[in-house]
Amino acid sequence: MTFDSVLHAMQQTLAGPLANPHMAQFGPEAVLNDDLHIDSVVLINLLVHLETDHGVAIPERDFRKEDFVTVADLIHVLLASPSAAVAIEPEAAPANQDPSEITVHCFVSCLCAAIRRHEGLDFRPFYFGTWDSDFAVTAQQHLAYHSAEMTQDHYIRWVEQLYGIRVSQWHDPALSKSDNLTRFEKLLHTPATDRQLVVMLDMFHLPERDTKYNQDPFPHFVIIEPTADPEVWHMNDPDYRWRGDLPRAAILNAMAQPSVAGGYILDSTRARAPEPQDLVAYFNATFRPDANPLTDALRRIITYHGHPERPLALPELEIALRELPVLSLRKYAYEHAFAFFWRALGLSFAAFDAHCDQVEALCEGFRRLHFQAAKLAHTRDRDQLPELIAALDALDRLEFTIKTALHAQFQTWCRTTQVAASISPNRSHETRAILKGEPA
Amino acid sequence: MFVLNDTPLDPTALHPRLQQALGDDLHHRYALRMRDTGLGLATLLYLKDHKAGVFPIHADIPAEAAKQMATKAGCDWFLEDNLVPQPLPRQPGQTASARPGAGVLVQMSSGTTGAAKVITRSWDNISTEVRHYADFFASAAKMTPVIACPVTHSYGLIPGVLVALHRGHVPVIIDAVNPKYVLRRLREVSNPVLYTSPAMLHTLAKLLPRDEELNAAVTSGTVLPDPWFQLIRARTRHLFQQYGCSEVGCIAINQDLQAPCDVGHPLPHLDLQAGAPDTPGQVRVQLTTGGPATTDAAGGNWVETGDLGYLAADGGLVFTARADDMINVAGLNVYPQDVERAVMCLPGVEDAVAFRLPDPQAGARVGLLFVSATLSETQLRAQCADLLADHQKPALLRRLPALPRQANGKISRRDIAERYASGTDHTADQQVPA
Repeated sequence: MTFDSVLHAMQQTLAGPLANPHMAQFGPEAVLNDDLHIDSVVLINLLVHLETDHGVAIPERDFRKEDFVTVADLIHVLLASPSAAVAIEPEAAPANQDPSEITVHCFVSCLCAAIRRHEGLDFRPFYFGTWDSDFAVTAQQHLAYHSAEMTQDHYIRWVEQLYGIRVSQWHDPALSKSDNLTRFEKLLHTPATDRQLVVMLDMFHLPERDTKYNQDPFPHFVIIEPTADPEVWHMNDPDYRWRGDLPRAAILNAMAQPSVAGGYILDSTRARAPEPQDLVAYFNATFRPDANPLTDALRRIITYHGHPERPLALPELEIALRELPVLSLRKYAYEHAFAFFWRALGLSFAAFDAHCDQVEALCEGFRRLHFQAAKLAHTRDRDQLPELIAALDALDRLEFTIKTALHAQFQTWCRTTQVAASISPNRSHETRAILKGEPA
Repeated sequence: MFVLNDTPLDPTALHPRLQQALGDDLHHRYALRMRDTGLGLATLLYLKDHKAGVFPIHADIPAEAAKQMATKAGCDWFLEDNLVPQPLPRQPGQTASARPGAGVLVQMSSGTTGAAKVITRSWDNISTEVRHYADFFASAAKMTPVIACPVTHSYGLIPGVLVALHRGHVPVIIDAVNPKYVLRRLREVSNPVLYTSPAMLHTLAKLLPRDEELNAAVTSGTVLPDPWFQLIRARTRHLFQQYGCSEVGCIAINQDLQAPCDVGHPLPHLDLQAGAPDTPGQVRVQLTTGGPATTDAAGGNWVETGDLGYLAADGGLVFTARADDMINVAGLNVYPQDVERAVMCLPGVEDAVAFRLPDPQAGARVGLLFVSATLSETQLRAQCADLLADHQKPALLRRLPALPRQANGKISRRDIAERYASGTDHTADQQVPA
C-alpha cells in the first residue's frame, strides 16, 4: 500500500458509495472536516470501505479524529508512516523509502520488533536518545559502531522498565563458541509462546544477504526463528526490514565467526505500555542538550588525521570514517521522537513535516561529509580541511536546533500529561526517585 | 477504577487536584465540557460523590454554544480540561441567593414538540435506576462493559459506567473512532459486552473477520434498520436492546433481541403505559417508588417519552414510531430547533427550518432550508462550523426564496422531510442561484 494507492481508494470511496458532495475540494491537503465535511460517522464508513473494498488494512490502533486534519494526515496514520518528505523529494534519501521503518540501530530495532508484536504498544519513544547512542573511537582514531567493551545494558534495562519486556542472555561468555551454538540450537527448538531469540552474527559471512555497506567484519543483531524444516531457519532482521528463510548452516557459520559473540532472549509475556513518568525519566536520562557526541568525535578524528605532523594519517581518514554511515543513520531516531510528540500533542502535520525535513537534512549532511572526507583522503589536499570543519560546525548547529525543538515539545508533553499522570495508578517508587533526581 | 482505551485510570488519584481546583463548597451546578474523556469522567464521578450538580456536554459542541446551553440549564460554573472554573451569567430573574439545585445530573432532551428542554435527575434517583438495572439485566451480570459511545450521554454514563462500577466491574471506555481498535479491545477483554451506537455496531459486524463473532452487544436509541439488524444479529452471540428516555433513564431491556422493534420488558421500578397491538399509543412512564424526575416544565408524574408503541401479550414493549421531530444522528439526538436557532442568529439569515433526512450511514442526518439575501449555501456551511457540533451540521443545505410555510405561518418539518426523502421536492423549482 502506497500513499497514492490509499489516496486513490479514498477518492473512489468518497465519490462512489459515500456520495460525498464536496469532492471538488478533494486532494491530499483537503481538510477532512472543513473541506470534505467528514465527521466521525463518515470517517468510520470510509475506513470500512477502504479495508473491505480496497484491501487497505486498517491498523488496530486507538486513533481519535483529533489525530489528523487533512486527507494526507489520515493516510499517514493508516500507513503508520508519518513523514511525507521522502515522497516529495524522490532524489533524496533513496536509502529510506519508508521513514516509519528507518534503519537506526540494530539492537534497538530487535527490541522494537518485540514491542511491535503487541498492537497498541507504541515503539517510537523507545528511540529516545538513540540519536546519541554509544559508539567507539579506536586507538587508531577510527570511528567504530561496535566494540567488545560496549554493552546493551542501557537498552536492556530501559525496555524492561518501560515496556515490561525482559531481556536475558542466552550466550554464556564462559562457554566455548561451539557450546554456545549448541545451547542456542537447543533453545531455538524449545517451545515458548511470547519469546524471541536475538543473535549477533557477522553479516559479512552471509553472502545471501546483500547489504549496502559491504563491511568486514559486520557484527549485526537479528532475530532467528525455527521453521518446519530443521535445516532452514527464519531470519527477521528488523533493522533492515528483511525477513526470509536461510540455511541453518549459513546462519550458524555467521554466528561462529570470531568477530561476533552474544545473544539474548526477549520475553514479552508481561509487555505493557510505558507509564508517562517512566518516559519522562527515559527522555531525561538520554537527552544531551549541550553535546553532540558524534560531531565531537568526528571533529577529533578529522583533526587528528588531518594534522600536518601526521602526513601518513590523512589517507587513513577514509578507513577511519568507513562506519560513519551506520552511525549517522541513528539520527533518524529524532523522527520517531517527533512523530511520538506530534501524535501525542495533536500538533500540525506541517510542523512535524518541517522537523522531519531538518532531520533529513542532518542525515544528508553526514552523508555529504562522509563523501567530502573520502575525497580529502584520496586527494590529500589539506586545503579542503577548513571546509570539512565548517561543514561539521554547520551539522553541529543543525543538530542543536533539532534538539531545542524536540526538547520544547517534550516539555509541552510533560505539562499536558501531568493530569493523565496524576490519575495513573502505577507510579513506582523507582521512577519517582528518578524524577526527583535521586539515584534509583 | 476504569480503563480508557488501553490505560487503567484510578479517578480517586485526581481528587487532590479537583479539591484544589474547585474548593470545598461544591453546592453548585457545573457544566463539564472536556476533551479528555478520562479527566471528564473522573471529574463527573467526584462531583457526583459530593452531590454537586453536573451537566456533561459533548466536547464537539463548540465552546460558546456549550456555555449557552449551560446557562440555560442553570449551571453557575463551566469547566474545561484546564480545570479553571469559569463563572456563567445568572439567568434572568434568578437571584444570587437562589442557587440552582445541586445534587443532580442535568441533560438536554426533546419535548414532544421537539424543542430541547432541561431535564434534571437527582443522584439518588439515578442510584435507584442503577440498582434496578443491575438486578434486572441478569444476562450481562458477569460481562465486562466495553463502552464505545460518549460517556457524556446517559446511555454511556448510566447503564455503561455507573452500572459497571456498581457491579464491581472495571469498564473499558473507548473514545477512539477506529472500529478496528474497538474489535481489538473486544478480543482482549474477557467476556465483554459492548455499549455503542447502532451505526458503530453495524460497522463492526461488517468488519468482523469471518471466523469471529461479537460476544455481546447492547443497542439503544433507535430501531435498527432491518438489513443492519440481520447482519448484527448473525454476527453477535448475545444481542440486547434497551430503551429509555432522559427523564427516567432506562425503561426496558430486551435480553434476547430477535426483532428490532421489540424493546423488551420494563424495569420493575417503573409503571409503563402504551397502546394495544391494534392501536399503538403514547408511551408513558412513571416511577412506582420515589418521585419522578423533574423538568423545567414539570407536569404530572407520568413522563411522556414522545414515542408511540404498544405492550405485547407477554408484557414486552413494542416500538412503532417517534412522535416528535427529533433527529437521531448515529445515536446522538439532534433537536431541529437547536439547529434553526443557531443558524437564525447569523446576520443575513432570515428564515430557516431543519428536518430529518434519511442517511445510509448515520441512520439520519439534518437537512436545512434557509432564506438569505446575502449568504450562499457554501458560506452558510462554512459558518456552521463554529455554531454546531459535527452531528448537528446539515448534510443538505438548500437556499430558497421563501420557506414552504402553511397559511397559519407554521411549517411542517414532516412534510418537508417526506418531500426530500421521496424525491418529490417541489421547492427545488424555486431555488435561488448561489
